[in-house]
Amino acid sequence: MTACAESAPQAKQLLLLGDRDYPPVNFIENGVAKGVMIDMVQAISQAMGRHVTIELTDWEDAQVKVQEGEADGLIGMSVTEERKKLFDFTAPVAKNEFSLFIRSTDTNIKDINNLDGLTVAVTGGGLPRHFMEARPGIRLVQVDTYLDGLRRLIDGRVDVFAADRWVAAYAIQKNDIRGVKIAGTPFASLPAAIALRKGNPQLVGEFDKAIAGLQHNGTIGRILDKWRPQEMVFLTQGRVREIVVTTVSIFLLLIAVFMAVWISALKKQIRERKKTGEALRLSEDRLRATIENTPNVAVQWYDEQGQIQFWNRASEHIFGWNAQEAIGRTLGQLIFTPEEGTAFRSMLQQIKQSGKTIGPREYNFHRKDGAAGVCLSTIFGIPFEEGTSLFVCMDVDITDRKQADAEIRQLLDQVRQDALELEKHVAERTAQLKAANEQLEAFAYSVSHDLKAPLRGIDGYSRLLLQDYAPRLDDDGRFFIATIRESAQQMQQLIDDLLAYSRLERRTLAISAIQLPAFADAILETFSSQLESRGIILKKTINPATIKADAEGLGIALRNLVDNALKFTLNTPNPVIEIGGNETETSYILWVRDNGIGFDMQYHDRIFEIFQRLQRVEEYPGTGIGLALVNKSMERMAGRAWAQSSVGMGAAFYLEVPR
Amino acid sequence: MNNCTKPILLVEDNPVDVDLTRRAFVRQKVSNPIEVARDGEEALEWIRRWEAGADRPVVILLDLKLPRVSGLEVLRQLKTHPLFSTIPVVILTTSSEDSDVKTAYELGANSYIVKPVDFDKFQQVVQQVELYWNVINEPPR
Repeated sequence: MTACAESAPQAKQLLLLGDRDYPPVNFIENGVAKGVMIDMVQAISQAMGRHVTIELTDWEDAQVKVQEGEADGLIGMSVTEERKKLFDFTAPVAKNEFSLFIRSTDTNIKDINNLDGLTVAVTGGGLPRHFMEARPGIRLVQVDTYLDGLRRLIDGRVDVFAADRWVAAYAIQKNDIRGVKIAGTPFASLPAAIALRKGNPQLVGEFDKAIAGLQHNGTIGRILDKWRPQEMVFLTQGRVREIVVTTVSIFLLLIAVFMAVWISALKKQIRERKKTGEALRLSEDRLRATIENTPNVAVQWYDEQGQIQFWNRASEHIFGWNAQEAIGRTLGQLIFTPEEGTAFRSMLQQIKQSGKTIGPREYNFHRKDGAAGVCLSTIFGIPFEEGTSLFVCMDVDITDRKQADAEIRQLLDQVRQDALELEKHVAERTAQLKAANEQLEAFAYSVSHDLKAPLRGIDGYSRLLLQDYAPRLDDDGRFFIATIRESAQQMQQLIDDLLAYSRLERRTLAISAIQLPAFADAILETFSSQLESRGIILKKTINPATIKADAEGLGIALRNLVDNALKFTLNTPNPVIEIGGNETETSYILWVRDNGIGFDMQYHDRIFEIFQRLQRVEEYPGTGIGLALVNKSMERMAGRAWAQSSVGMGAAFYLEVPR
Repeated sequence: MNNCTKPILLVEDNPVDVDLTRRAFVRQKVSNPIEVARDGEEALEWIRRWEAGADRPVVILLDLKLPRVSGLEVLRQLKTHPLFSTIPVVILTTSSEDSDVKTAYELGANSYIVKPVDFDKFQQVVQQVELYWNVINEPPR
């Protein structure tokens, strides 16, 4: 089977032969010659201006025909030294590479050097055959076509198919052959050129010139490029498919994984949203229930027009209007006057603009039943739908508290007024007391001066009478005068005692630290001669201490008690006076004990009253002032005096000085 | 100058006391004339008389409780007087009030005697007074 491609008719016609089955270098498709060399030769013939006929036939026959002169040359022949002896080669137009094709499962064959003992397929007349024949360990099998070689390789009839890489790859792709791969790098790479019959250097020069021109203007490159992509595709078709399949699979897998993850995430998100939504709804329900049922705190929501949107139970309770009545209305229609309602609305606007909370503030309101009340309110705004605000108001009813406050204030005013009055009373009483005190002082002064003056007269003239007129008086007369004088003396004593008592009451206290027993010792010292002359046994059992007391007052008390003891032991054989002192938790107690006549305890209080006497004056002289002075002085320093006795068994007098 | 001819000024409103005091002086053999001022004003009048050249007293016996001008006021004027502050003043009173004693001495009283009711005791007081002024008025030898 032959096919011809004709170039432009010029000068002498040339006949070039090529392999009919060497796609894509040169091959016949649907009766037309095609291939990279066909394009190449057509371009060259045009450049040379010659008519070139290409005939594709059996490659071995073609070579013989050229050598015998039946044709001018061969297209697409690999240039070897041996072939150069047979043909004249033009400049190279392409490069032929030869590779080992093996089964893709085969991993042992790497290159041409480990083919010993293997069956290798080659096509007839091609360079691979020539290469393989040079290696004696190889079992060489010749195949007719590239397809045959490839099929035998897949069948396992041969181990290797040694062939033109470009051509074999084309066959693999064209016939959809799977399971074939190239082992290693090409075992040979040779320039491909046009082989011309020997002996026509002029023609070779003509070809070379044209080829050089085509090289130069890029035509050869373009032709190679035209076919090269095909080569690339053909070469990698299987691999490409694998790669594509793998890539697509991986991509799909990735997408699947991504989708899975995404779906799972979405599901989770949906679950969470659902959960959140539920939680939110629950939370809102709880919140609403809480607000609804919060006792004592009235909560309402208002829109920007002041219309009530929410009204909890406490609001109902405080304001008397129920939610049904209140919602949709304004406060001006319920609990405020219209003016107050307007003021409330403008306050809402103010809150919206400032974003600030107002309150807590007190507001007066009227309940549904008309009763006036006061609430303490806080109002703030929260963002609502479409840029509007919702206002929340919280109130505590302080009506009762306000009333209580008012009452307290009234009471306080009353108390204050009472206090003022009391103060006034106290001031008045103080002034009265002061006046009374002054009067008392004036009285005491008068007593001392005015009462004594006549006494001096009585005593003075009695004395003068006695001195100057005694001889003219009888015994009775003289006794009378003596009695007058005695009475005057007694009266003087009473006046002096009274003055002493009043002085004790009026004098200013001077509290100081008093050392015991030193203080008592100093007082007892003044009685020493009396005690000694009467042979009185004095016992002292005063525990040392420092007490705080009015020294003069305490001195008066102690002196009077010793006086008392001395007086009431006058008729006692072996008189004994004991003075003791002891500290207690809250006070210091001093006592004076005697073994004198004692007294009946039924009079234990009376003995401390002024001018009270239990004994007749002839037996135990005295005015009855002593114990009154004791009592008074102890009273003045917040202490006290008391006595223990029984008739004939002596007496004990106690003084208690507080700490 | 004889001390015995110089007067004693007794400032005393109670006539009984005036009489008893005179008698006590007589019984103590004091021969000086006794001038009497019956209240505070009369006592101040005496000061004016002395300023006019009347004989000033050897001693002034001054009661505190007096009608009109009080004894303490009389004492104050006497003791701040440029000429008569040196005249000895014996307070002779019934008051034994601490405040009176304190004030009297602060104003410059030379002595403070509480009048005893007992006439015998009073006579002793008078004797002491006489001794007192005789000592302080003794001219320098």
